[in-house]
Amino acid sequence: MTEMRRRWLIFLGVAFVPALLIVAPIASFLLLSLFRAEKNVIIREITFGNYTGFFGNWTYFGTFLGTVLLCLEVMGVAVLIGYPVAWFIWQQKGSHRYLLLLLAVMPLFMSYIVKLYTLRSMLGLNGLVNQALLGLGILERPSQAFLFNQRAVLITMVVIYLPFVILPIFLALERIPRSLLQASLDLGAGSWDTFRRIVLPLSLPGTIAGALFAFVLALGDFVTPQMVGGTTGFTIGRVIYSQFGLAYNWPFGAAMATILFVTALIGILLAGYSISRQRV
Amino acid sequence: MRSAGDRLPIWITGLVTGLVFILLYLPVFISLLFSIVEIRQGKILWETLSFKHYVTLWSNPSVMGALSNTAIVALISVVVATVLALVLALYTEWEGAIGRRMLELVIYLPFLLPPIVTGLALLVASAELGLNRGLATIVLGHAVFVLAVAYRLVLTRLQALPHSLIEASFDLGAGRFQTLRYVLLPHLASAVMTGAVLALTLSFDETLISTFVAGDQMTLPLRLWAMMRVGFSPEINALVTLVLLVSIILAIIVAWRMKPRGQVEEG
Amino acid sequence: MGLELRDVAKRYGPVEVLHPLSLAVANGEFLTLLGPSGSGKTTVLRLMGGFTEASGGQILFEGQDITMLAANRRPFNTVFQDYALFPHMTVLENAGYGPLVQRRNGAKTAKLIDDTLEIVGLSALRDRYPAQLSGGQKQRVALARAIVCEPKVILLDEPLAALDATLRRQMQLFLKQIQRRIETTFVFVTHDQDEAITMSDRIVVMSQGRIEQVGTPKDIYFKPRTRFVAGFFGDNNLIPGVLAGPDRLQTTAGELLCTDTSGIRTGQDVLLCIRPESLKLGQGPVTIRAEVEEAIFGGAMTKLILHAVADRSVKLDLRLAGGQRAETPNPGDMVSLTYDPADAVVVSR
Repeated sequence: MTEMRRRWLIFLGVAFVPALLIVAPIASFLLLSLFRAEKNVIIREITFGNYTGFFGNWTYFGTFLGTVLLCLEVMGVAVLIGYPVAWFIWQQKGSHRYLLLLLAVMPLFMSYIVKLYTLRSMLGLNGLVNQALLGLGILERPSQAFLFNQRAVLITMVVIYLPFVILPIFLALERIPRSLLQASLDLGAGSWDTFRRIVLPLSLPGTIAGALFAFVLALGDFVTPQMVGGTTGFTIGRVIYSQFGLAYNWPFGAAMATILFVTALIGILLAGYSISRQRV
Repeated sequence: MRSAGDRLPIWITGLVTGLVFILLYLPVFISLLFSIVEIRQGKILWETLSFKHYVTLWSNPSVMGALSNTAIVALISVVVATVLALVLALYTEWEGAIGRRMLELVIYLPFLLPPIVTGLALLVASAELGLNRGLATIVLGHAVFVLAVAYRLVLTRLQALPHSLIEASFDLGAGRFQTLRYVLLPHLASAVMTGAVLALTLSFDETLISTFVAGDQMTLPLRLWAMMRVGFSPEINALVTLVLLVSIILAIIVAWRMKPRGQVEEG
Repeated sequence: MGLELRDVAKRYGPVEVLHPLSLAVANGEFLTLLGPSGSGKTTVLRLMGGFTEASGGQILFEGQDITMLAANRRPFNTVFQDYALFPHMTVLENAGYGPLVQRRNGAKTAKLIDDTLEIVGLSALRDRYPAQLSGGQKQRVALARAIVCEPKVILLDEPLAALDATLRRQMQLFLKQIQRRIETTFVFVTHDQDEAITMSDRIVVMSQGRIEQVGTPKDIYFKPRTRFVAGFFGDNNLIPGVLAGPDRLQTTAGELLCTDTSGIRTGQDVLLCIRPESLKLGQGPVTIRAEVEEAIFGGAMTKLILHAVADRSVKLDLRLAGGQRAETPNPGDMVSLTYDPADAVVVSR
């Protein structure tokens, strides 16, 4: 047996399990998107009907564009809030810093469904937000504005995905050598110049990574819109989910999920490209 | 040597951080509060303080069933993922001439993709293979999902291991298996453990993939979700509090194990 | 006038890393802070640069108190040990950073940057990023970046530590030439004795947060004033003894002479220091009988290791000029050694 053949055999042996558990499912699901369903029966003939049907029908395509827009909003808000938090934690010293970081990151480990539940109860008619605004005299009676609409989805997603944004930004900030900041100061720059010309550009890769996390996670989220979105908070994730439930059109659902998959992939590639362009 | 103007950004970002932390942690306290007291018209009725909702959870068969399912799924999927991660990491580090990048992309894919895609892929595949959805498919789903984390941790530790150590072991006449047994595994043990706890935490909370592959089985998050659709109740809050508590404890264990040690603060 | 430290001290909690010390740096001088790690030399530099706050004392520049002045307001620039080049900026952008943030622009500044890059020999690499440069080139960028700011003082924190030996010697010469050319004060930190001796106008030897001695390289090398300095430069011969008169001392190797005994009282325990280069084979006003232990051929020089006949524990070290036909004693040979009493110095034990 040649060395090369031995290596190939080992590779096949090792790669077999991931191939079976990851590649095969994704492949079978991509294939499914090319079939069609008729009266709950899957017809195994190759067709692009699901895709043309998706792009040709504004109900679906519009929902998809609306979802992408919503996810971009979630991403933007999460970065705008997450960056200052990461920066503040970075400015702290010693054990203080790691305690704050732990606090910022721990929600990552808290049950997603539990966070949804508590946020929903906070945003609801009798929820904390309304109670607080009533107490402060800003509102006269409880408002419905915070739940069961697109805005509720936005708020909830931002809160849930914020830790995913804070962590990579902090890690990028932490990688900046302290001597660079001292050098900037030494050459006459004030704190603002140092931030704008050194800290911000050098933390950009982490910021992009954080933004990507928020975007991709929000894109595939179908539970948040269902729980807090009401009738106006309809997203493509919910549409896909319903194809595997009530609507029972698996091939069409698979096609829409494929489009979601490709959108996420484009996001990942764009982020990867812009990070690699950074010379750090 | 800082002026007041230099402190301003610290104050503002500190305020933002404070607000964010309140937002992130308030839910924990609210569910805790709601699970032990009654609240009517915005007033806390302290006289209703009791832990009875925690007790009734124990006698709720659907909750206990979900709990045991979650435990079974978490343990099996973590063991499967950890063993797989160990084998894969050893392969990419030792033999990785062929297909390393490809293999790593595949390993990371379920973690990078939206969970809905991973969940659907597993759903479709199990339907194609004629597998009945149930605990086994949940285990596979979780194993695939947490594999990326376990793999990353083991690989990082493996890469930190000086190559000379392995060469020395071979040089001293140890075979592959002996080197693995006496040199590598002891060195990797703590990373494997950290990876396993982290994987356990993720599996314990996993919801999105599970919904697609669970069939009529329930895990704890799925049970909670089902209960929440009905409405709010103190019992849910008790369960929520317990779930959060377990997650927090697991997260602290992970953080403690991964804590950077021997940090030198420069003057 | 120049830069002056008055009783400057630095404490971290109860730990006194720098005992109160005073030091004046003249304008245009190349001053080296020399000492082992932990001696406080870098702390002195950081105090000068404004990166660390003094726990006591005053720092003055041209008579002005600058103790509380922030780093970006001092007319000094630092060349950092790890160069601290901005990785996302080209060589040109790095060099132009100072003028940019100081809002100095225009043709004059552009020309200054160009000229400086020319001086340090980087004109051809101006569009490269730091990751594309070698260690020596990065070093030059760091220097250019400081020079462009036209500082009154350039502070260099072990800038050559990361370079290999050959490059290091080239850069030593280069730094010295640059310093003469731009006529700027250089304060240079190093732990390398040879580097300090080759480059400096004056050397400040430090140990354990204190100044041991300040002087020209020759002074420091040939006329150490403390035991630490005497032992710091290579294979000095240190012979323990007691000062018996103004120019003589009693040692286990016999009575020895020394003209330079300033500041030391008769009867005090001392070390007699004679550089290996000052010790010669032969008879003279003072003679030590010694036995050769080893003769090590070292090319230009042959190194003899000996011990005194009167006391084997007194080890001696001397250098003989090389040459193909030079005669060297063999191990076991008995020889006479002598030295000029004016070349020796005593320090208290």
